[in-house]
Amino acid sequence: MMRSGSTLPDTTLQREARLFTRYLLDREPPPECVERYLAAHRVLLPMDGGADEVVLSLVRRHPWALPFLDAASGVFRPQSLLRKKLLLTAAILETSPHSAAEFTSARTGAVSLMIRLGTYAAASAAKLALGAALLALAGRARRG
Amino acid sequence: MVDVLVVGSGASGVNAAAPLVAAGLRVLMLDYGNQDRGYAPLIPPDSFSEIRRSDEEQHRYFLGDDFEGIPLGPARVGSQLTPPRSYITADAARLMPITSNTFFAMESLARGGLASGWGAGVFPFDEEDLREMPISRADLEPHYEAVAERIGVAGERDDLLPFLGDCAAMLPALEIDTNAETVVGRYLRRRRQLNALGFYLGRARLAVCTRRHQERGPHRYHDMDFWADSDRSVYRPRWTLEELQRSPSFRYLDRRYVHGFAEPEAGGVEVTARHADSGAEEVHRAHSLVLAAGTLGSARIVLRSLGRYGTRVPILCNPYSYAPVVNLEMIGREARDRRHSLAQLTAIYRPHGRERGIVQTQFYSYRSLLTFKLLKEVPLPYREGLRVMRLLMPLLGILGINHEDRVSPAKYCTLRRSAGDEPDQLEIHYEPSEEEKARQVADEKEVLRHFRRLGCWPIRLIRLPPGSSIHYAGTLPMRSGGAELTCDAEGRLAGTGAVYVADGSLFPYLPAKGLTFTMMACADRIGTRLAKRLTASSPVLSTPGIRQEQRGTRGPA
Repeated sequence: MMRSGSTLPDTTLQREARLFTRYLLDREPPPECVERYLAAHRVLLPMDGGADEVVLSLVRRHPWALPFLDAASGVFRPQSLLRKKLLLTAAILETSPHSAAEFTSARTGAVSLMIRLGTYAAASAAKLALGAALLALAGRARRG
Repeated sequence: MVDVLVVGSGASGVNAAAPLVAAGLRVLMLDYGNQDRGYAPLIPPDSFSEIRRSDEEQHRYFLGDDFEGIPLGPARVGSQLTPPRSYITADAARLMPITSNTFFAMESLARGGLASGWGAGVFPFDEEDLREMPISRADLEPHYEAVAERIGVAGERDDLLPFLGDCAAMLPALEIDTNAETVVGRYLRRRRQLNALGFYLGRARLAVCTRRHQERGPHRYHDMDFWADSDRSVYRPRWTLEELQRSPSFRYLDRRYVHGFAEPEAGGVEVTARHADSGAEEVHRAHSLVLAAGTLGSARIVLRSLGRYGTRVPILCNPYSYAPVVNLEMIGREARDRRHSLAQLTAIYRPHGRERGIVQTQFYSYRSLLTFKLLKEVPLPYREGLRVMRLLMPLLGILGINHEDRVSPAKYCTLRRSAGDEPDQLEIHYEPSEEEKARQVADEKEVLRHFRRLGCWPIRLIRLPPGSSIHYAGTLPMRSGGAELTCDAEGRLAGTGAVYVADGSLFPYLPAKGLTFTMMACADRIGTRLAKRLTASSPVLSTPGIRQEQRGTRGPA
């Protein structure tokens, strides 16, 4: 089994790259982006786990929890490993011609802008509420 | 022995050397000279949007081969440096360590110095700004023109003219983008009201060639200015260095770390340097020495050479904040793809009754620094955050707000000798007064209020720590009186016969204007006047030489 230099096996990181890409862009990443995710881990995030491992384990075992834990981490733990991994995924996807267009500006009229911003705000708030609860549970599990 | 030895190849070094070389003097430039390690050839000469669509290798220069372009921590000084520019700060922390709890400095050992990543803002100082120096605006005027001709300056004669002065050599201003156009439109409709409140807006004056000038440019509006210099339109000191290298009387030696000088009784100056690769110590001799190693670098060299460890010298740095803003007038508008990445507009706010102490703000649109860098600042789930950023991007502007800085006993640096072969530590203590902090907060509030009147609504204000503006000055100030560790009106270091300083060290006051252009003009003046004195006195010319003292490989000193 190949190891990237991270404490996690490559297969785990590959699954993460695919999970995070589906979460961000609703599609599968091209193979080169998965490889880049592994390569970036070797350099930027060589040590996994620690206090964030409970949250990450939860995400790996229950991918449905990702949006909620992301929302809560964005507010309560912006420097968490989950947020860093998601940002890493975003950076890699943005700098690939296959997905760059999904990071460029989208022009829209005033009404559509307000509706869409409102929708995203509502979705974020709902995710934050449930995510805060999940984060608290994860924190208790870690201390337990 | 050469006529003049110049230390440093940054904005001041090359502009001090230029008149010396033009006068036919033999000039040796010593420089560490780090260069881009290979990103530049990867970047195609295409627009930002075309590259995004098509280049399979874009990740290499946008993110870096070591992913150094992905900032996973909090915002830090220099985080605006893209991977192709990361060489600018390479080796600096190792060779020139700084100790401070309050000041976050960025230094450079690059070919071209910090100006290799300069925002190209051009801000001549006025009489008030130079009040504490023994030179006047009139003294600098011909040198502003000479430098403007040398580097190419583009601007408009608009409402900022009273603050920036005119420039005969000025090229037509860069085109502004759609975002900036709407801001200017609102300003023109509210101009009288805003001017009455002390707020003025105009085109950014920039060191950019908007037409073919001195074999450079014109700017192609590819929005790649943070990544590449493919059209050479934005001024970088290495363009002047290349020109100097065409002269037979100029010699450039890189991979040299200069750490001291001495003035032997026989005359002239001896400069000691270490070769970066071999570790060999070298001694170079010249009639005169011009130090242009940067405000902190020149201070280190002087303090070390004079044995003034533990002596305090002043330090200045423009306090700097930035505020992302949303320009509501951009809703529904299509942003033109043809644009540049530099500051679109400049605003100057002069509170009523204040003689000095303007606040200067630069307005940038945001696109070519990549969306993910904004995402990390937004406390939303990343899925929604990405979609929100895509909608807001055409509306987004960034305000960079600069304040003045003045000397105070609570702002100083000190050189501490380290044990053994460890490099000396520069300790920086920088503590603005409560009054300064309160004034900055009040001024920022007013600036943001004025921008709201222009339709630009701030999302948040981020105050970066001291040192973040990367405008440093004042360590070896130019003053009358000849006090130790000051320089006279010629830039000569007090107590020396032939040691001159030509960089930001000289300035005892920092207005809220970028220092670089004025620093270049001052360096040109120092070089010009030194050239006149040297050619008038007809120095003895002898074969340039280096005495290498092989002491084996050493660590940094």
